[in-house]
Amino acid sequence: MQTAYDDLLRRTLANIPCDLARLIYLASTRDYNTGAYHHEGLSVRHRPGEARDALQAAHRDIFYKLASLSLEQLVDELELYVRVSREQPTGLLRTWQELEPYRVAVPMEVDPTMVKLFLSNIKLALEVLKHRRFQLQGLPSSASPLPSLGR
Amino acid sequence: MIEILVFAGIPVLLLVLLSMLGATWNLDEDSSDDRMDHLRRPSPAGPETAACIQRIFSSEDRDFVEKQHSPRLRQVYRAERTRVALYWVERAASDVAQIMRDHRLGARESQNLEVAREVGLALRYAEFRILCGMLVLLIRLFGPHALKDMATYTLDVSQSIGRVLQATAASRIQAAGNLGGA
Repeated sequence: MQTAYDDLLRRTLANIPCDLARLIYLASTRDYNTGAYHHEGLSVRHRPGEARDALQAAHRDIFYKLASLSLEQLVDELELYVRVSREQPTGLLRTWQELEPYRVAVPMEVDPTMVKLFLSNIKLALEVLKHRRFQLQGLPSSASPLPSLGR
Repeated sequence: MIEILVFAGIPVLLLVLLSMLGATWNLDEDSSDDRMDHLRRPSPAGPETAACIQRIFSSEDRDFVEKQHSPRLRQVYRAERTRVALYWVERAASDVAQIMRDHRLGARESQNLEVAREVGLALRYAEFRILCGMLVLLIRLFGPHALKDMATYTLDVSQSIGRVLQATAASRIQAAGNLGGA
């Protein structure tokens, strides 16, 4: 499994610019119904079982890494994610606040308190970015375009 | 005599009060995450849990939020962190209560019960319950940030209960093996 894991890190995850994007990518390799992971390239190069375990382990590792970040670090991570997503920051932040798509990015069988903390911190990080946006524009309320969050 | 009664009565009173309040203090604002809990197998408290507790009860994030100069953000932060801290306490309390229930059921059928160990375990469990009750109360009153040491200690107590129960289960299996072999 270690070889498949290293391969996954080197060939795929290294090309993804931030851990939050890696988490979402790894969650997307998981079947919504069965919870089983699948990666075409990895399954070709390694045994399917090894590839599945590697994906699961990588998903869990990235999750634990993100969940143990301080709020400040998570805000930076989210800011970077918004920047590299090439989506309109306003829309992305609103969607994340309303639909909470990050919930499905959580791996199974991880410490439930850690899950709770992670989800709560993402919620807070979104609030911080929203607050910064208002501060930059001198606005007391919403409904205005979001400036570049990278600055 | 009156002093002894007062000192002995305060923790009992506190426990009664907390168990009464427990019915209404059960994280009612917490919803969707709990609904997903049944999908997650309870994991033993490992190094990640300890790190998680440090993070929940640490003041680092609060200091960061303070620097943002937003009353709303401060309010949201306090509510969120309180919710997570209470969730951990309630979850730890229910997990340990469950393993204690399982242990009691197993102990009833045991033929070589070690009384000293059982008494020690019962005292440790009572301490754990009191700590959980106090944590819930203090988190509600003051927020989680001044309670890092107490939370870490509570986690240590829960882990020590787990270790004793593991040792008990192992010795019970060994005794059963010896009986089977005899």
